[in-house]
Amino acid sequence: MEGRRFKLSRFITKSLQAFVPAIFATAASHAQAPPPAGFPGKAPAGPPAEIARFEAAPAVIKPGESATLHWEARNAYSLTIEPALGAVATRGNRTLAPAATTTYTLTVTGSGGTKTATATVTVAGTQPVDTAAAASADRPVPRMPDGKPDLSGVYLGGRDIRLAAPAVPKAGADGFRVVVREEDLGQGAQCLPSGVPGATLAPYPLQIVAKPDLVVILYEAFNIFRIVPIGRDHSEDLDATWLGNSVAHWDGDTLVVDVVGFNDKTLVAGFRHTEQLHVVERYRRTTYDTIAYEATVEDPNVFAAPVKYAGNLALHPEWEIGEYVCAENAKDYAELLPAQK
Amino acid sequence: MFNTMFRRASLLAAAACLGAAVPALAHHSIALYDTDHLTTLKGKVTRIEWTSPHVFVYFDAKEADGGQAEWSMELDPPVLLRRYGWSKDTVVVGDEISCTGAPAKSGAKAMRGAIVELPDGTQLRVWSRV
Repeated sequence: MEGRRFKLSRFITKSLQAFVPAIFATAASHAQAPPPAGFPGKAPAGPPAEIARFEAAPAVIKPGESATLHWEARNAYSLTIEPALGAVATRGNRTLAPAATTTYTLTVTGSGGTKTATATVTVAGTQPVDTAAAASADRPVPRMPDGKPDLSGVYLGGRDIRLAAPAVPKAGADGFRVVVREEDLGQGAQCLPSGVPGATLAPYPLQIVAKPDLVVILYEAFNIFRIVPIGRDHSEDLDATWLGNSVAHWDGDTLVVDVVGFNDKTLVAGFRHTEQLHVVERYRRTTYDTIAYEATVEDPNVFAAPVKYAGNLALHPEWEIGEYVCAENAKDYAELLPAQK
Repeated sequence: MFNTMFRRASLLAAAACLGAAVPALAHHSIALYDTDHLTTLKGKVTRIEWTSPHVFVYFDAKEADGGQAEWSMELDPPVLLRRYGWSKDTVVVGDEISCTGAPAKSGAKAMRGAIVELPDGTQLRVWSRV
């Protein structure tokens, strides 16, 4: 059993021996994000991100030889290794052949702050690299062959996407407000998908696959997808669907996605809506690592003014979209429901 | 904290036994759990379901009266747990673990896990909201 066990404890021991100063000499500058709107209780303080292992083997090489960095973290929202690697997965290794002595810094960010550890590959007979200068230069926003921004990548919106203009019901529409009762299993409880922009608010990544004439958005949560043609109009005869019908056009460097044709089964900012729901999303890749995302939501039967969401989609090149088959282990929650009176 | 939890659980468990409407198969809903009153239980792992939409860990919890009962803990799905540093073998049957989470409002022996602590004190994230 020991071989199958989580190796954190052994790595921690080894790491403590090697990296105690680096692990604990940490600036806790990353405040925990408050719970997202609609969270019905207090979000507990999470376990802090920790570095379980970061080392170079061998630590000393000759010019032309290579060394391997090994790392492992837990509870982290993100990890980076600089210089050279940028964003990396929770655990892994990478073989490098630095031309000169290089000190690599692993930075992990999670609940409670940011922690760092360093590992140095000494290249015999060379002067240390100025790692500050060697850190990954800001990479430009990638472009498609037609010059438009390339939105491709795996991103996480989740808790970073916030309500920018809250939902205000129009007169007489307060009945659309969702009252959370104990017996309400909530959206998704029947393994039915979130809508738009709900799918982007989930704590699961999405992948954008960009082509010159269309964009495909693959959502990990519920394994749902949207195909968004660029430069086309909505069909006139649309069925009402969970994710609606999306078409896009470019407004300068911003991809503007217009979505109609929704059913009335999803939720927006704590409200049900009608099939007149209309969503306009804006995607602008402001940096290599970031897409600024906005969603404006209107329903003339429900809202007195547009509901707006805004935030950043953070690039996670180290992630892959995984399988999420909701029906795999859907539970009968009868025993969790309050007793009938 | 344990005593409070068990007093509360005992009262509500009795109520839950009176019967409840049976919904269609469903999955997670935070509304079913009391996120304002987290509790911590220790016990030995009896079963694990490494599945979507949620991982479930079942464990025999030591209760205040000296007895024990099987509790279930609902965790994030494998795709998220792996990003926190888990693998499917991080916790295995027979492990003694400490589970902190939001207990079922109904008093059922179930919780929405937030943090799992291993015997060596290592704390592991199991919920995207923490």
